[in-house]
Amino acid sequence: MKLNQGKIGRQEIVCAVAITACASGIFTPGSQTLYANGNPAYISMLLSAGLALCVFGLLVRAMRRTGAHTLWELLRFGLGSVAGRIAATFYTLLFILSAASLLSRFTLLLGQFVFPLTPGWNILIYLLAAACVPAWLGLEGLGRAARLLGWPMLFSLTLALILAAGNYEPYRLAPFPGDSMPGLAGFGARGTLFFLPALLGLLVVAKGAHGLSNAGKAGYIANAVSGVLAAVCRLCLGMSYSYKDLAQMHSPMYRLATGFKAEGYFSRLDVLLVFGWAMGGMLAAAFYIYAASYLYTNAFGQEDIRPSVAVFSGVAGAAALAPHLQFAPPEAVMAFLSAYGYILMVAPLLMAAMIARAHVKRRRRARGGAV
Amino acid sequence: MQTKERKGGSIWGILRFDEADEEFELLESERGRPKAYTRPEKPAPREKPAPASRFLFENERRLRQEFRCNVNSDILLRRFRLGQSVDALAVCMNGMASGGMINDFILRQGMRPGCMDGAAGSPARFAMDNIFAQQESECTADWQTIKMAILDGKTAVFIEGDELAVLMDTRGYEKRGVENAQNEKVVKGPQEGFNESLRTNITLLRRIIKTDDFVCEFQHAGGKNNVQLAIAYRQDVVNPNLLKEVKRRLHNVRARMLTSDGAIERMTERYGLSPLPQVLSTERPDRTAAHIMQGHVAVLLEGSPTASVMPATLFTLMATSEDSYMRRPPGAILRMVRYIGAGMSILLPGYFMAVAMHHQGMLSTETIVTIIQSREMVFLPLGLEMLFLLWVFQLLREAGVRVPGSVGQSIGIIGGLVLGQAAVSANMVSTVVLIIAALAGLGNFTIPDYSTQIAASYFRIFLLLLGWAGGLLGLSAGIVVLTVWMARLKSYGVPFLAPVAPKTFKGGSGGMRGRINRRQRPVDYINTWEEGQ
Repeated sequence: MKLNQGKIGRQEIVCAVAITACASGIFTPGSQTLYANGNPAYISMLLSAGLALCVFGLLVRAMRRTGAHTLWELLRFGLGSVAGRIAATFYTLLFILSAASLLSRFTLLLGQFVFPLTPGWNILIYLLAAACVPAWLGLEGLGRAARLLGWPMLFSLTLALILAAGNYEPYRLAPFPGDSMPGLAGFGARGTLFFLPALLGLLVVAKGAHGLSNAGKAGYIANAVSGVLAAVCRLCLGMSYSYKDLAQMHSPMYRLATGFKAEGYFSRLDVLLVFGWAMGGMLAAAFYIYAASYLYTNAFGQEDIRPSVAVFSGVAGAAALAPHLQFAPPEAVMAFLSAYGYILMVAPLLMAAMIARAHVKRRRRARGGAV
Repeated sequence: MQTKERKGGSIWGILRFDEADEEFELLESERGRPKAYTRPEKPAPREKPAPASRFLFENERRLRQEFRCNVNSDILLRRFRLGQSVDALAVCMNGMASGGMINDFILRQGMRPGCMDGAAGSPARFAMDNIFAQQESECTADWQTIKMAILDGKTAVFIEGDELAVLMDTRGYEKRGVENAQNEKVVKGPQEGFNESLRTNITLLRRIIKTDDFVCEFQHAGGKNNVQLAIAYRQDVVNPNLLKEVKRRLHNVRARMLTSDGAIERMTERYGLSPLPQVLSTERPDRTAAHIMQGHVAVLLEGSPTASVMPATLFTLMATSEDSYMRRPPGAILRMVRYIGAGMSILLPGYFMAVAMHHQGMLSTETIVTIIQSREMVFLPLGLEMLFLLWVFQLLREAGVRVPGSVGQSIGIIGGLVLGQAAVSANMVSTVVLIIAALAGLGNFTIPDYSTQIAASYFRIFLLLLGWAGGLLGLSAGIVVLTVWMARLKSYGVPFLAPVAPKTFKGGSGGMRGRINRRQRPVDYINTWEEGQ
């Protein structure tokens, strides 16, 4: 077996998952839908992180009860071999799409603001290489590098927020909390699409994180950190611009960073900050690609993860490039996925968890009867 | 059929999907039996030579034949009569053995009349116990051992009627004395360095480590030139799994000739293509001893003036012995300067290239004007200009190292000044780029380990090319890839970036210089025996 997994400690896995969830939570959501009817994103981010945590908690509990060590084992135990494989393929696709959406966002951000004359594919090559190679090298390197490179990302995020502090006006947060409570709840539920994949990735590689118990604790910590950071970023954005302006912005975080203009040698600090975030984005995409490859490898009995990593990186790259080539899925599909994607994502998991639990109960009862 | 063991050095190994990696872990979770996924390669079965004969003429004939005495005049065979009654033959290698010792303590003692009186049992044993005044001597009939001993500078004495030969340590070959360490100089602390004599090197270590658990195991190094190596460690401290793994890897060493521990390093390290070393090579006994005290294993090779200490991490390679000899604040600041220098050496040319070529908006007007003015008449593109200067720097450095003594220093200084000035006057390079290249080069010299310096220069060029091609995006992609790759690297099962990533120290200082009293405990990431108790 050559799964390039090894063993990493809690700090490393927390950093890897937190960076992934943070990058997804902060940079992936589309501004148009998020700020369509008000400025409640800072609350909905917390709600999304909380909901993701609940689902994660349920899954960890189900895995503990059923004795499953990884997400694949839970799917197989709950849904059986064939349906489990279908579900595993679905989650593999989810991870690939999560990576693609991150890569696409950063390609767009860099193409629009830093390299305006460079074609998207050219930028994507660098991002993709920096995502593919770490995934190829495996979880150990990825986790340890996340522990080191998490600091530049955190530093660049907090620096952007601190430097923009002069522009904050709390009145821009009105109306509080957004247009309506159901709308807020809806945003919160949809937002799980940004936080849950990272946690699912953690469950996929739980063996490499010293087992389920450690992975569970790491997941709670990582989710709390990323949820709070994403919410703080949205709060700062909300205080800097009105929701109408935010809805029009493609990359509000970059706009926030450009709000600060330094004098002399430190002018245009925003470009440096963007590359701090981009490093986080690369690691996050690498984590998704690794999780996708690992799940696929487990589900289909492959012995080497590297061919999957190469193929899935290519697929993620192609998917990330699609919007830049004016190739996009039909509007209706996108709207459906945006509105109900979270249900599609959570439903098979919950089903697998419930069936698995029922199996265990039945077994226990049967054992009790036999005794 | 014998399974062929995969070597880490093959470039095709990266692309092979059908073989599992040979991996050894020394993490806490991996305690217990060592995981040797591949069996050590068995040495090819060799026919054991027949033991020595009871007849002196037979032994003499055999020695003359095997040492090619018809053409080889180095071997000395001296017949004499032991106690003027028994025929004996002393055999040694001219130049390797001390003539004075042989004359005084073997021949003079052996030729005394009546010294063999009362000999009973084995005459060789009797002679060893009663006649020869040598502190290190043994009796053996094993022909291979006898031959090896003679080649090593010992003297073998064969006695008529006994198949045992007496081997005596009469080594007296010329060797370099203990001198100052040439490449790891310090202002404070001991100055002496290893030399080419294995025995002297071990003595230097024993003078520092005066504990009963300090063990030196001698074994054949694996080269066909039959040199020996010593594995030095503290038995009560060292992690047994680490020791087993070191021995296993050394067992697999096969080479035509071994003259330097560098060759052993290359043949035992897991990642053969890595520019970064996975073993610390040091010429300082105090540094080696400090690591042995902490639970590391050191390997010393006969004929090599350096010791290989394993496992090595990035922070081991970036430390010097002087750090420990200074007070904590200056020691910590020195180390920080070193890290900044190393970072500057690796990142500065790439960063400058990225900013100057792709992100001019980040620079102030004054800076841009200065760069443009300095490059006004330069005909080379900026990237080539930087590559050219880095190349010149490597040339000067290589020339300075190879040319002896003061001439080497002069080449460095004059070459740098003259070439730099001439290149600026000829409009080949600009002053700004010259300064950047010089700073990067200077930063490179702050890295204490020579192999790491070379690795840093490769990284510098890799990041320079990425910065040139992709600006800060290329640079950050390169940093991510390099960091992940380094994080994945292991030295004898220990992650290369330990104790920072993974964080393994308990309340320690990581890469920085910690308190001396904390060093009473062994380092955490080796999982030493002492720590486990």
